This record gives sequence, structure tokens and C-alpha cells, in this order.
Amino acid sequence: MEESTKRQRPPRANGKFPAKQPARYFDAPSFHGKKSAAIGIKKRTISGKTFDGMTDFVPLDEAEPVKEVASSHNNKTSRKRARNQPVDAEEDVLPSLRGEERPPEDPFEGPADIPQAAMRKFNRGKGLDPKGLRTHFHQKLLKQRDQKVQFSRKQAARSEILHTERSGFLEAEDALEDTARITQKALVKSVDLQSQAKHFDLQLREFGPYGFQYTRNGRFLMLFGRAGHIATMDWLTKKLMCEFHTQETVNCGAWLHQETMFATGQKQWVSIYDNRGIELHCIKKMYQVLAMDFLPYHFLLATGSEQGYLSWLDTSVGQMIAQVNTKSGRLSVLKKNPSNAVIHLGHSNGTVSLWSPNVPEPLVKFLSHHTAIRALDIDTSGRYMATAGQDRRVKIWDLRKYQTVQELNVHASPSSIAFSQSGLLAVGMDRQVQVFKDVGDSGGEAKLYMNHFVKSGLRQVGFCPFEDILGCGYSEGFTSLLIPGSGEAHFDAFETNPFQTKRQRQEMEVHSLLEKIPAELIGLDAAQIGQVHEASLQETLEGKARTLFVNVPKVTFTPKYKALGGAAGWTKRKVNVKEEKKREQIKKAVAERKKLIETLADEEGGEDAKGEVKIRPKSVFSRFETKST
Amino acid sequence: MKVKVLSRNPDDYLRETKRDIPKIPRNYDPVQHPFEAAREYVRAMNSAKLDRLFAKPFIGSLGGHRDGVQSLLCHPRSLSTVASGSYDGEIRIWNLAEQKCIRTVQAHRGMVRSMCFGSSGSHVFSVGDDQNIKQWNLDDFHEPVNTILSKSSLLSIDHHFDEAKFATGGDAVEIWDEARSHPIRSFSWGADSIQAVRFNRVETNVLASCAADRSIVLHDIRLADSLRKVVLTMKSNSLCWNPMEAFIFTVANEDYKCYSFDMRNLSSPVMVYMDHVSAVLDLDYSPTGKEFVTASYDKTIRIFPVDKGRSREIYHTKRMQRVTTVKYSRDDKYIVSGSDEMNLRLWKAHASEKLGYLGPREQSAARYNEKLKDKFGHHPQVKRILRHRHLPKHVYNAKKQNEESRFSKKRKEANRRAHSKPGAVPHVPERSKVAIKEQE
Repeated sequence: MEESTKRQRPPRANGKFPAKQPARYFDAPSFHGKKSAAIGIKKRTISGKTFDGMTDFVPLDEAEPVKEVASSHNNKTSRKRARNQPVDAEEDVLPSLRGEERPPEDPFEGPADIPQAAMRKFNRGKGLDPKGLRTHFHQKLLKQRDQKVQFSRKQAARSEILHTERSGFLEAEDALEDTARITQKALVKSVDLQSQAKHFDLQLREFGPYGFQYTRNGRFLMLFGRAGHIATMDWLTKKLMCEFHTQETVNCGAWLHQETMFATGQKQWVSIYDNRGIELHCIKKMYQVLAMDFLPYHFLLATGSEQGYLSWLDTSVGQMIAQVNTKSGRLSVLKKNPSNAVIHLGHSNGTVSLWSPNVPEPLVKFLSHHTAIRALDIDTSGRYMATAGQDRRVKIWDLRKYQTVQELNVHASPSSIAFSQSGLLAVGMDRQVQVFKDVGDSGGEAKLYMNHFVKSGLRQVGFCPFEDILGCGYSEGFTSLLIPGSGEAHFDAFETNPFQTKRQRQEMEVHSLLEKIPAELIGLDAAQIGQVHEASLQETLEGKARTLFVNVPKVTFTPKYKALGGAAGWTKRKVNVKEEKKREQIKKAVAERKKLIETLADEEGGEDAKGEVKIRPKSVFSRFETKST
Repeated sequence: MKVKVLSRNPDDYLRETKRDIPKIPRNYDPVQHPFEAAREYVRAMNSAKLDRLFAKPFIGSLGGHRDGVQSLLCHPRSLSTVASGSYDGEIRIWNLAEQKCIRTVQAHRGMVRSMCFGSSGSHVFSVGDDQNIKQWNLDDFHEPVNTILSKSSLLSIDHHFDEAKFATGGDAVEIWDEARSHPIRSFSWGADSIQAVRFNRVETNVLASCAADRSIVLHDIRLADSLRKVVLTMKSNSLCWNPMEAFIFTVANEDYKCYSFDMRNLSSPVMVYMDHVSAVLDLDYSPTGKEFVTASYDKTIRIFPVDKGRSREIYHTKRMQRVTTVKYSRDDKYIVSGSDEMNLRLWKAHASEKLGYLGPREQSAARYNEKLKDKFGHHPQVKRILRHRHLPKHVYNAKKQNEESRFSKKRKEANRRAHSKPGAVPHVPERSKVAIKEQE
């Protein structure tokens, strides 16, 4: 439904705009070339337009105060005068009145153009075809709905004009310059003070190597050293929220739905702390957890353990949703897909498996590398997945087709990789961080964008949401790097708000709890709940029609014990069994019918006849017919 | 190098003082709003639950009549004024806002069969079992302004929309001038007693009547003869014109159903409404013409959308007996019902709607929730919650029984069809079963 929004501009008079004429209100200062300091104001007219369709302007300091006259007749004439005779003398008369060149029609007539890129972004797919509907009424209803969808799409695309921020960038000025060679030092020198403060290094030599996580709004940072040191802070203001030592190994950590709570996977169990570092819960059902991720819309904490157990814990009610033995060794590589909440696991045999809490088997499993997988990440749109193997390769997978679209060779086995909101890919290996751009673009090749060395072995890299920042946790601390163009410039304050107040945070917590998506809805296609499951619909429809003809078998079932639930329960059980039998019968009949249709269609040749086959009802005389072989 | 790093000025995102409203920058990019469908589904689920949670339709009961309420009518101008007539011949005028009776008079000997307001709303006309037509002034309610003794007993009365005429139904449909004591016209088409007469409010000279001989007859008071007649399988008890689609009227039938007819083609109804488990006694359209409310002998009130064959709502209380009459308020918000056990009851038309002033955010939230329920109403979980109603035991059982008998008839027909020559047992839609014949 790519609708063309490009309009033909009205033809300009003699090929260009007359230079002297102001096209718009804000162009007015250069009006007439007379007084450059004068600011134009729009003169009060009835329609705001002169007779030739051109909005007229007068310099502010010469604007005539239009006097309101009581009688309507006078009022009209005074307005007319105000429109046609600018106050002073002849030199102030508009050029159009002086008989010079006529200004063109309004060059910006009608609604503004909508950028095609934005339209594509808000595309909700093709609408339904109304032809399949039986009644004109419903066809019209569908059309109206489609119009509304299209309208909202346009409005959403138009609203992008309100975005005031511009995302960051880093460009080489000539062919000799290479952005990958630009050091952080040089970068910091040429950015503003506020951004300079965002580049910092924390030297934490004792308890490393450090892992970390930013909150969803990018405002808060949690650091956890392997040796047990945990710290959370507002990293923009550098305000420490809590800092403590667990006295045992910390393998992994994750913020829960807000900055008020976080979970850590420690030597034995998972603990949940509040923002002052007080342990709220110790979850002994999650044993020796190596990696975890939090699904904020489902309130699920997904963890992978040393023994190969993958578990989902509902943190809003404390209930274990599912716990599966993946039977594939220790699960140290675990990431959520942010678009459909499926958990991606990377295994030591080079396979990647996708898990939902509703299915005890992996939804998808495929071989990504011939060596163990060290790290993986999925981009925000859920379209691309990057996996890094011990074979020093990074593969970019298209998750719609499960095919590699790109392959990068790096010089060491990566310990961590991360996608940014804008689609940059950071690869951390040994002491080096490399950031690639143009990742996942079909056809193109990923280019090295930036490069940085830290002091010692890297444990983790990760981009900060809504900021041009890459965090790097390594064995001697944490460093925050400036990566221009990595963050999304515009946040939605109803979704994630880096500037949220306490009140807004509380409000958001309540709303997100109310809108907690049940874990049953997790699957590969997140939009499935909004679609029609045609197969089951067909079955119910057919079943409905069939019930009329199905002879319900007589069921002589008497439950053994009357005591359970008394006489009512006894009858209920009886009815249940009968209903069950009936349902079975219907299901069987439907399946048989379907089979019959298919076989007949095959016999009568091809798919074309499939829908139109008529089944002859079996009559008492059928047995006399000659049997076809 | 050319470089720009994201650096937000907090002044652009934070409010200046605590009294300002917080700044809410929006970004509608779908990537930033994941799980769109699932979240909407959860919201729809929540709104469906809240809808049922807040469904408290009963507002109050107005007691005072000393016998069952037979007729009820809403004032054409004043929202809060309602008049009711009872089996013992008493007429009461009520103020709904205060839930009080403001006037009362012993109007007739025997039952007050039917009442109507004059076109200005200052007078009430009533007919009773005593064959009198009485005209009452609302301000001076002690004595009738005018009394006419009819030759035959009268069962129903309705006033012309703007002229000083009214119609009565009894042995025949008679048209009266307010200033005269004899009918100016009389229509009869083989009927014995006319149960209901109703003037069309748009095509003001057209009126419809339904009679005990199962017929519905259309008349035009400018003509000498009646226009059309259709005979149904069973008797219709009441009749109401759709105020928005002037050519549509609906009858409440004795066979538990309601039928909508297009007055231009009476050969079959345009819509059949079923859900009641006993005779439907009265019905009234909402002023929007999108819904109507029915009163039934099964002690319940139901609300039907005009385009759906099943009711969207059922109201009942333990104490409410046979509901004889029901009216929709002129602002589409309330329903008044009168029943056998001497009470008037006031109901909300939309059970979970909040009464009183709604702020703009409340309004938009209500609209959003409505849309969500509409969008996800077909999901089994949402549907189950939205459709769930507690039924009185007798209704529940009767419904089950009716369904069973309907189903068994259907099955029998299907079996007969399956074992007959193709086409020998045609499918007959429910709509074509009811009208026996149309006459012109």
C-alpha cells in the first residue's frame, strides 16, 4: 500500500520565485530589501490572503493599527483599506499593486509532503482485501478501517517534524582520514562539555573483571565484578546509588523493570536487590546462574545455568513460569530478542537455539559456527542477530530467513558483542573494541567505524540506550566511550524516559504492571495475537455445521464414586465424559471429510478442482455400485 | 573530522516549575513500541474485566402505585419527568432526578390502559377501561381538562407529533381532534381489538397499529382507507418506530421475539431479535435509533442493538416481576421500566458507564476502551468476559429448553434434507417464517 504522497508543486511564475517576495512569514525580514531589521507581521485580513492569493506582509514598525469601528459597514471598509493600502506612501505599496511582476500562487499550498522514509517506517502492511467479504456493508466498514489506518500512518509520519534532536555522527573530512583512527582523546577535544563528561574511566582493580548493564532508559548503570563487587549509579550525574560486596562470585546481573530493583546471579543462587543494595529475595530455584536477561513487558527474568537449565521467573508475582533442561551444557550466552521476547541461547557446539517458555523444545535451532559461540546479540528491531564464535568470526543473521547476511573476520575470539539502537555493532575481543557500521544491510559490507583499546582483557561491551555511549567492562574497571551516532535521538516518554521524575516512574510502574503481557503469548511472531488462526477457525466452523449431522454415540458411563462433589459432581462428570466423546466424534468426522475432499481433489486432477469437489452422500444403494480401484 | 554527539539540554525535557505539566516527547516509531498487539490485547482484556466489574445498572426503584404499572411515558421536553398509569386507574407523575412522585390522581375506573403526552408536553391524554379519554393539565392535575366518552373500550392512545390530533385503538383505529368529542376518522380492517397505535415521528401522518388478530396495519390519516397490513404467526403486543430510520418499525411479539419491518415491504421482517424466553410485552427505541429496549413476561428487560439479532444486555432483579412497560430516556442514558409488582425502576442504559461529568481524559479513555473491546471482542477470552451475565434460574432453564427445542427442530430438518432429493427441503431463513401474508 505504498501510497504516493508526492504532490506536484504548482508551476512557478517565470521559472523561479521573485527574489524580493517573501514566501513565508519568517522570510519577511528581507522583504523589499528596504529595512533589514524590520520583522514582518501578517496583516489582519479576512482570509489572510490578498486577491491574487498571496499572503501579504508589512514591516512590523510600519504596521497600521487597525481600528475597530462599531458599524459593520464601516468595519468592512476599514478592513478593505487596511488590506489594499499600506499606510505610508507610494514606496510602501506592494509590488503587485504597483503593476510589477505578479507573485506566483502559494508555492506551499495544501498539506505538506510526507517523507517517504517515514511512511515506510510506519507501514503496517497491506490492508485486507474487501472483495472477500459478502456484504457491501462490511466491505465499506473494512474500507473505513483501512482509511483510518492509513490516516494514522500519515499522522505518525508527519509528527516526526516535531523531533528537535538530531542524532550524532562522525564523518571523515577527506579521503585520507579514517574514522577508525580517530581516538577518544581527539574526539573528546572536539565535543561539547556535557558530552566530554560522558567519557570516563573507572579504575576498579580489585574485584574485576567487570560486567555491567544500563537501564532501559539509559540513565542508570549497574556494575558487577566477578569477585563480588556490585555498584549502581546514575552515570550521567555520577551519583552513586549503592555499592556493596556480596562476598561471593557474581556471574551476571540485570536490572528489573525499573532502576529500583536489580537481580544478580551469584555463586549459587539468584538474588534480587533494591536500589539501596538491600537483598529483597534470594531465589534458590535458580541455581548457579551464568547469564540472565529481563523481559520488561512480560516481567520475566530469564536465566541460563551452569547445568543447562533455562528458567523464566515472573518477577511481579514470584512464580516460576517454566524451567527447561536444554541438555546442551552450560548456558553462558543468553540474550532476549527485544521484539518478540524469545530467548536466544548460544551453545558450546556452535548452535544457536531459540526458546519460548511455552514450548519445552527449542522453537528454532541452527548451526552458526563450527566452534563454540562466545557471544550473541539481537538488534532492537529483532531483525538481525550477530553471533561471535571462537573461530574469530562474527556472523550477522537475518532472523526472518535464518540466513547469514554478513560475515566479519576479526583478529581474536570476541568475548562480547552488542548492537546499538542505530544498528552499529560493537565487538569486544581481548583488549580491543571495534565498532562496525552498515551491519545487516543486504548486499553491502560492514565497515569498521571506530576502534579503541582498553588496558586489560575485556569482559563486556554494551551500548547505552538513547546516548552515543559504549560501555566497556574489563578486568580493571569500566570505561565509557563516545561513539557518535550510536544512540536513538528521540525517546518516547510514555515508554522509556531518561528524564522521568519519581512520580512518572511510579505511574509507569503501575501501568506496566497492569499491562503485563502473559507469558503464554511469547512466540516467534509477536503480532500473532492480532491475527486470525485460519486452521482452527476452519475447524470450529466445520464442526459447527457438522454437529447437526453427527449422531452422538450413547455413552453409558457411571462414575465409580458418587462421593466426590456429591450428586452434582457425579452428573457433571457424566456430562463431561459425554461431551468429550461427542467432541471426539466431531473431530473425527471433520478430519474424515477433509481427507475425503483432498483425495477426491487429487483424483480429479490438481489443485484447481480442490474447492469445488462435491461429495456424493453415501446411500443405502452405494454398496451396489462398482468399486473403483 | 566532522562530529556531533547526542547531547540533550535538560531544559528541553524537564518542566520549569512543579506547577507545569511534565513534558512528554513522543516517538511513534514501532521499534520503540514493541509487542503492540499483545499489549493492546492485555489492555482490551483489562477493559473487558473493568467493564463487568463496574456494571451496576440499577439506579433505583420508584414505589407508590398500589397496583401493577400498566403504562409509562417520558415527557417530550423534560428529561426528568415521567408519567405512569396503573391497574387501579391511578396516574402518577414522577421526578426522576429526585426519584419522587410529584403528582398523583385517580384517573379512571379500572385500568389505565394507555397514555400519551400532547405535542407541547403540557397535557397528558389517558384512556382507561371505563371507555373514557381524559385530558389532563400537568400543572393542575386534580380534574381532567376534558373527558370524552368513547363508544367502545379503548386499549391504546398516541398523539400526533405536531398537530392537535390523536389516535386511539380499540375496536378500530380512531383519529380524534383535540377540540371535538367525536372521532374525525376511523379505520378498521377486520381486526377486533387494537393493542397499540403509534404515530410516526418523522412522517407525521403515518401511523401503525397492531391488533389481537395478529395483524399489523399501516394507516395514513390523510387517506380514507388503511395502507397495508401484514399478518404474523402470533400476536404483537407493542410497536415502536425507529426515530432515525423513519421507515423502520419494530414489534414486540408474543412468540418471544421482536421483528423489525420496513414499512415499504412488509412481506418479511428485516430483522428478527430473539433472546427472551417469554412473550415480549413492550419495547421502546433509544433516541439514537441504534438500540431498543424490551420488556418481557419473563421478568427481564433486554437491550438489543438494531443490527444484531441477539441482545447485548439483560437486566433483572430478584423483586422485579412481569415487566409490563419500558421506556428509553430522551438522552439515551437511562431506561425506566414498570412492572407487575407496582414499582417503576430506573436503570442505566449502559451498565458500566460512569454517570455525571467526565473529564476530557476520562472521555478519551472511555472511547479508547470501547474501541479496544470492539477490536478484540472476538478473542475467546475477551468475548467470554464481555458476554458473561448472571441469569435468574428460571430464565437460564427456559433458555436452555428453548435452545434445545430449536436445535432439535433444526437437526430434524437437516436430517430430512440429508435424506431427500437435493433441493426438496430448502433452507428457510428465520425471517421468512414469521409473516403469513401481506395485504394492500
